[in-house]
Amino acid sequence: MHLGPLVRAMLRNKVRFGLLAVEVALTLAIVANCVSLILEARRELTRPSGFVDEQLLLVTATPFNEAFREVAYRDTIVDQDLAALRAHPAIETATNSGFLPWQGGGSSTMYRRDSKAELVRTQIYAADEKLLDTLGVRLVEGRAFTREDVLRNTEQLRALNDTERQRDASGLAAVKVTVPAIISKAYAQLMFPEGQPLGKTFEDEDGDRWQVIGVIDTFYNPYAWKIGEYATFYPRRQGSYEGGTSYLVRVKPGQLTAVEKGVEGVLAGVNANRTYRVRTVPDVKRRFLGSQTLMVRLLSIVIVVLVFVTGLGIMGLTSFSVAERTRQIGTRRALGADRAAILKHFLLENWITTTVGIVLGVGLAITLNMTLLSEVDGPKITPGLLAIGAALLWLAGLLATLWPALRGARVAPAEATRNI
Amino acid sequence: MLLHNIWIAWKSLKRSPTLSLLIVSCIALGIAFATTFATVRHAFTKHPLPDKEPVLRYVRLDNWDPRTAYPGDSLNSLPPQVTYRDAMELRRSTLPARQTPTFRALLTVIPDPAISRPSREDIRLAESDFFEMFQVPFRYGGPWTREADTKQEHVIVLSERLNERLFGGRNSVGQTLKIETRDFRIVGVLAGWQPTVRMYDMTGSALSEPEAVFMPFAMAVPMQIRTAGNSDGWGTQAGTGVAGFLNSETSWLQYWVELRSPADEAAYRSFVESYITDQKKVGRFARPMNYRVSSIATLMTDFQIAPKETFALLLVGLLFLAVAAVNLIGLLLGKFLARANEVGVRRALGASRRDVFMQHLVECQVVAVLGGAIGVVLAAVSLRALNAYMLDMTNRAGLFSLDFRMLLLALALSITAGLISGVYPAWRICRLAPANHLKV
Amino acid sequence: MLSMSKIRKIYRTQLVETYALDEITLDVLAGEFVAVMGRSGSGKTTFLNVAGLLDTFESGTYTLDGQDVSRLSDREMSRIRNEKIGFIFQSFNLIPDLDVFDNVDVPLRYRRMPAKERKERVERAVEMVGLSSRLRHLPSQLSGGQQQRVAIARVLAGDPKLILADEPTGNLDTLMSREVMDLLERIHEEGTTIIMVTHSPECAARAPRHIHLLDGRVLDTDAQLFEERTLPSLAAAIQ
Repeated sequence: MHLGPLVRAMLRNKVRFGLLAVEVALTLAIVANCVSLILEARRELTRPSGFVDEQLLLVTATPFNEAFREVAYRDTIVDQDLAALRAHPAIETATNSGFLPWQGGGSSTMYRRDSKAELVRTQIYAADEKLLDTLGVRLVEGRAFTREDVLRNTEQLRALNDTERQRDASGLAAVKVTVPAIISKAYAQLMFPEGQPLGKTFEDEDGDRWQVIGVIDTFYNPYAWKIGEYATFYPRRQGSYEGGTSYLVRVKPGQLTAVEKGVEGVLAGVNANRTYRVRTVPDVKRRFLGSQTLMVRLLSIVIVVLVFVTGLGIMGLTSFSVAERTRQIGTRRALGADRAAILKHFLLENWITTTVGIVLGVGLAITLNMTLLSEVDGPKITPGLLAIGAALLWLAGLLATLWPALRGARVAPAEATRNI
Repeated sequence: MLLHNIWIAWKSLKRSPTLSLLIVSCIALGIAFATTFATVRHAFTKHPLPDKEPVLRYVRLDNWDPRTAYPGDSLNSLPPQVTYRDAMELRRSTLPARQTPTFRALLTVIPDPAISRPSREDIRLAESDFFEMFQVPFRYGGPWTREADTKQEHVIVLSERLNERLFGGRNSVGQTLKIETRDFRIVGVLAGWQPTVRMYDMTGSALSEPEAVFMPFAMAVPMQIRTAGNSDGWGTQAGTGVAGFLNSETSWLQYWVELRSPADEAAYRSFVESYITDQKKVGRFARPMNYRVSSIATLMTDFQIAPKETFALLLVGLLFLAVAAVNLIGLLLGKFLARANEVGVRRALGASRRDVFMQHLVECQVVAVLGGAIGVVLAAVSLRALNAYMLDMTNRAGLFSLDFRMLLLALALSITAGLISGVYPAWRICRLAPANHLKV
Repeated sequence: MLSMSKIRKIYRTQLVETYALDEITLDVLAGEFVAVMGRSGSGKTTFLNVAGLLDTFESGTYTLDGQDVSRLSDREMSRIRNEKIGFIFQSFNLIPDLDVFDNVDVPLRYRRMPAKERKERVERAVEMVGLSSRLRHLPSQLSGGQQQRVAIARVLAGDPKLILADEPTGNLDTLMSREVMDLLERIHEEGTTIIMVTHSPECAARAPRHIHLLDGRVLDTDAQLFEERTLPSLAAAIQ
């Protein structure tokens, strides 16, 4: 329409329009990257563990009475603890295990298929027959541990640790034991890519065999290394004199606070010569994800304020631009432009500026993204995100220009004949 | 002239209140964001012990599995801690002016039943040199002596917090405290030690606060104290029980040395190398020669203490300031050009272009400094809110604070923004021919 | 061509009501060259604004080229300005960011004329005012006289029926003034109606017909002028 002269005139005012374009470009770059970071953080924040997080807590009882040095004594206490916990009206069930989800760590080790295969790392935790019920995970194959598994395996492993093991030529144990294990589906797929993991075995560095008796469905516990989805559970009485004994407790729905306060009393009722530490999974999760949540909030604030500031900037710059040209507007009106033509003129000017800014902004967004990724692991920026950002800025630019442009359209034709 | 220009600038600001408000808030927001995020990053990157940077060194040895490298990136391809046997061997060197192995444990503290119930507390085991090395401040008493280490005396140092809880904050030196099954004599109480980063042990959370009790390292074996920190091991353990553990390839200790000069450091490195070479002869250290003797600063980078998100935030903050500056250029341009008439008068009265330029540049600076001051206040408020949030998360109060360096940064950013934004508008307006803008 | 009857234009402020045009009645026939004269404050500019549909009026009727333009919409008025009227301003009013070609082109663009036709008209108009060599120059690169000639080219390109000129030589020296007035005369000879507001006697001399305005009213030519000259006290009283 009036594109040619309009663009030529804009080119003679490069600074004025260039400033706006640069501002739009910077805004697009910042907003696109912030949104990208927010989406990534949210992905972390909303990732399911596969457990009934809201109903879980870990209580650790550490003794300071010498009697606890006796293994048999400790075992009796553990049985009494579990009985008391499982009988509690607000508690669904409990398992003797040190696994605390959402800590960001735990214990891990490496296994391999056989002596020729590569070692693969996995999280590893001891637990008893109530593990699956406590966590609320589903078995997709096989079975859970039984009480016999726990007792038998505990005895087996304790016997091993009591004496020095005989080793054969290759450094492996001369007499190998078999430990039943429940593994996560992801680890099963890693260890046995061909499928059918049930019944198969893998070995540890001593040569002992670990036999898959069960496979569980979703498992995710974030870890310092990338093994969040790999887990191996084995049946064993958990606990020691120095480290105390831990119970992962599943409370009935809505009872978490009540049990958090009362569980110490339950265990003290069994034996009071211990110190107790209670951590609820929601709390632990909140602390672990705390920095992510903070990021999301901070970045959201940045986005809102930035778009607001840029919008005001566009409005301000356009206002000045219009105010400076009242005489020109009057002249155009005298030459035959109606109000709509003037309005369109300013909207078009702004649209061109915004578009130039967006084009620049895409390049800037990608550069900024690459700089960020060199330090932070994060997602690369997607074209979809840039497209949405561009659309948003076009809209924001339009809205911000509307008021000054309407003001401009209202300038009277008589401005043309006004003496200075 | 400068004072006069500042006075003119102030009057000009008062004359157009809404525009001035807009201009000042623009800069204020930009400085607020930039300063806030810079402070957050600064909290994690600033050196906790700058005086000791040239002398304190942390030892890492690659005793890992010959079949695979330690899992970690190129900077961290070796275990972050050392084994017990290696620590004991390292101790033999007389090169360091001071040295200490150290680790964190969780033990039951059993105070007088009248005062408090037993509780599990974080205990740090270290040798007497630890306190001098890390400039730990004392309120009462002092560290135990090197002799106490050698003689395996039952002595401890309490943190201020624990002393508050158990002894009401009084001088508890000389009193006894039972830990696990043994009685310990208190020889010192700390004076509120809260380094931003727990630099003597960066293997866990960098933000953890210092431990509640400090105990001689020599207690580890007789009391069979296990680490409550991380440990990494590989291979099979020869021997069972505690003895087996202490002899294994499991690394669980932090080892620090203080070396007086670069020459000493070079000599120490040779010592470490020859130690590794010797151990290779008995079949240990099967991996290629790899060890680190790192300063605190290097360690902070290697372990990536500063959460990566803080870098992203810093970048965003600075870019936001850039947007605010661009915005400012536009606003200033508009404001100045609208006053072309006044400028025409000044020029007619004899002001040179330089005078006009300087006058307007000063106005930009006044705006920038004013906005910067408001921005700093905003930043202080935001940081306080962030502190409250972090207190909930990490139990640390006052993690983020506007220290002198950050205030200086804010000032520098304000002035720079003012200069960059102001130069073009001031130049444009000083170039206007007066005649065109005087009402004839 | 132009016929005004009892046109009244009032400017209202908070305290005062000013009758800028007080029941003006006049006619201009097609092809006339009229000079409208009067001291400042007489309503010359207001008259031009109303005549050129740059401003509205409170009461009266205004017929332009046979059409009653008293109560038209903004769009309709803009159209008439674009097609039937051509303006020449005292301060030239060229658009500073556009070159000569684009400046002359402006009114043609509002007419949605196809590019080829526009180009022809512009080039022809610019040639008529003798500035073909400066087609791509910016107004800042032209002298006052040249700028006004470009403004005239802008008018010519549109080929209007009525030209309204507001002190066309007000900002020019004697030589340039003469050039501009020569152009205007030539245009008049081709049959265009010209109404020129001026207070320069030299310019007015070029126009065959004079109209005098005083306090928003048309003076009954010679009679009232004579009174003004010979009865200063009365003239003072009339003021």
